[in-house]
Amino acid sequence: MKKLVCMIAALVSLNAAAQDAQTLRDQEIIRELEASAEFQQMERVRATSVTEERQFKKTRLLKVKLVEKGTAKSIADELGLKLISGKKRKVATFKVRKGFNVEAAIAQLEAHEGVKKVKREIVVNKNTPK
Amino acid sequence: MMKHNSKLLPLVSACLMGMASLVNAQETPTFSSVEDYNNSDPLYSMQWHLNNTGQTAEAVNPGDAGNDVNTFGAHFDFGVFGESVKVAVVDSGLAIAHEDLVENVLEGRSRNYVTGTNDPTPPSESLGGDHGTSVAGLIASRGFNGVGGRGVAPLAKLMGFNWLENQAYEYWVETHGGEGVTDDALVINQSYGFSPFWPINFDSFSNASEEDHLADVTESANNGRGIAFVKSAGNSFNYLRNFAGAFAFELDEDGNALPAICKAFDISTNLPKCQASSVYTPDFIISPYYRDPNGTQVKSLPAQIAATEPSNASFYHTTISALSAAESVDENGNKNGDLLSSYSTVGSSVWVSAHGGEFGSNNPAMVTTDIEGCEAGYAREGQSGFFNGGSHPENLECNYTSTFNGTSSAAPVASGVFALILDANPKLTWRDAKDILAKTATKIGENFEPITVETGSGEFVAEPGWITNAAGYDFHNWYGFGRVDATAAVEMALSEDYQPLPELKVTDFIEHKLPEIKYIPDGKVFGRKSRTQSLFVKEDLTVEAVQVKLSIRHERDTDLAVELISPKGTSSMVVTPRSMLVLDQGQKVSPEIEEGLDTQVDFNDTVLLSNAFYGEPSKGKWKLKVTDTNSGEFVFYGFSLETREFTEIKTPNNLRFGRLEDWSIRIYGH
Repeated sequence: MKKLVCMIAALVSLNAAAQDAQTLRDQEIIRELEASAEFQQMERVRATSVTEERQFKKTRLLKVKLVEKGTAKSIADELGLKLISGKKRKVATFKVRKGFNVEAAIAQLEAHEGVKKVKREIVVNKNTPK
Repeated sequence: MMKHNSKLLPLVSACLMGMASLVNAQETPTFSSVEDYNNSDPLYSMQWHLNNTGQTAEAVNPGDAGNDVNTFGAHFDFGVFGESVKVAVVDSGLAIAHEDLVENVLEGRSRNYVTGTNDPTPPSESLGGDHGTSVAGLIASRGFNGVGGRGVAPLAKLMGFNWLENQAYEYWVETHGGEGVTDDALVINQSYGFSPFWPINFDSFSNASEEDHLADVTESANNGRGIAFVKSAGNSFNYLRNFAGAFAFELDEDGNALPAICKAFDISTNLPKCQASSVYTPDFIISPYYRDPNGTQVKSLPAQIAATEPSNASFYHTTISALSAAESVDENGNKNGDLLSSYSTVGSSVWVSAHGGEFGSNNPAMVTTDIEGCEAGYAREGQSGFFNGGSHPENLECNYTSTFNGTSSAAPVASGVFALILDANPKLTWRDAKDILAKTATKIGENFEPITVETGSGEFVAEPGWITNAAGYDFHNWYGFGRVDATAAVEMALSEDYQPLPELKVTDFIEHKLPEIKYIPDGKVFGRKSRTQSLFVKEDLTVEAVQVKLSIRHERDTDLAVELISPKGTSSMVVTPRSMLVLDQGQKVSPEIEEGLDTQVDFNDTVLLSNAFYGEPSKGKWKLKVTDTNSGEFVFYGFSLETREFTEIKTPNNLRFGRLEDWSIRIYGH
């Protein structure tokens, strides 16, 4: 009986020591987290109640997979779009000029025989200082 | 109409050249002695990453003497300071009028994507520091002017872009070699990143557009010299931010994970035991190694693998991991091979390592420029610490900080060295500069022991540490080819013996086509522990880097280890297990998040990159070995900002074998 009590006491103290070690480790982690740029940025977002990382903003840019590479410029000229990138490539980015309807431009591109797929840009500020 | 005067033109030209050389002559500093060099910037003595003498830089513990990027010889002996090189800092902003930056900032060349002006100085009311201003200081705070510290390339020219404040693709193009904006920069520093917790599709619209653009400008810009795109590896060795709350974990009524069967079969989602009672959405996803009170970094695997962020799997980016001021020691006081900063993301796509320091309280952080004045910045009134609190005699106006860190610091230190190399020899391209960095890097952490995991059917070496490839290069997933050495790099750049690299050649993705078994054993099945397949490369190139594109179905991605083995037998661990690729353990994401973030739960055309085969021949049989390293439960943690509490997340083993559906490799070389 005495041995059993001793064993239980030893186990309880070991468990307490382990818990203490975990508590210390957790406190250390929290201090490191709080010192990190990402944490501070998240805290700022929380404080200003701006849920900016959930704001997925649609822009006037259209990313387009082309049937043939190098055709982006002629398609842009044909449809009155501004070519942002991909002049020599198979993936191009076009900008719909102000005053023109984005949905209509998407429809025009989708109907174009030189175009495989169109996706409207969604800006997410997902990159953070590292 | 203006007429040309054939006699006047050469005269004007000669005058302009004379003026240019006069400007250079005025700029190039000379030193009467080493003491003169050391004392010409008051904070230089604290900048341990430039000259580590064992100083503490206002922290408790000192660094290791000699553990620095060795700029002294590059500046003092070779007189190379980076003055012919323009460096673009793509970041949160840049205080262009800062007393120790202003002389190096190119007037009118910066951009503010919030206000639409040429001044990306952060608003005066911002309380915290400006990341970009501190990054810029590490590259090129003006040297030898009797003010502040100095950059690695103390006379390089700076342009700042606050793209992080408005991350539209149009502005990304402008800031990454865009015509008339940054296409004359020889170095573009990117101390930013994203830490995905799912394997990203490399061929997504957004990534494909970026890759094409980078391929074009690295070939065409600066009359073929290209642009060195320098990228921080990330700060996610221990945890990842749960961006947009995309990871949400379903719990039953007792607060436990739902049984594995609920995810394994579509039909099972209707079972009563598969009905979630609550959903837990952490703010951070924490690696089990990090929370282990007995854990040490040198026995831990990273939460993030660098190349899971597609830009770090791109050949056109040079990925940099971060180093501390001092190497860790074991219980006997012996150096244990861990010189890595405690937070640095690592992986086979790391090229070289440079200093990022620690947090500046116990162990040294970086000393660099900060927003001016004691009202705002990392150093400001009320901040703890002698230096950042504005009490230090050299920082009474709080224009500098001693607590900056991150791979955000390692990248600009490396960018500074790139600037020195490219300044030293105007014939070199961005690839030559990379080549020189690899050839002159210092092997560090030599006592590093391989890290193993228990699979349920034996130990598995998950991180082998240093390897020597068949071309004789030493490579480590944590350090790349090692710590950068500015003086050795400049010396090689100036040497007549250095042979620039031949033209870049890139293969298509070469697909695995053999009809081989696809399942991935879980534990030891029929005597097998791994799935190995092979393919043959006909092209005979000297390898600069290899990309591997993977499609794998698996119910728990974090179990997977993926090794690529070259024809010469060099093995590179491109996916280390126990990472926080855990989105597949969470509930299905909303269509909005799926579309906005391109999420997926399996490796689906996911690309990893390895630099471990540098210099080896490409021709021959390449093997891919995929291992499921865990046949039991896997536990990791969530952390909530609001409650400051950790929550255990237990995940059951996969019920079905994984499948290696598809893979291919692409060789970059010459």
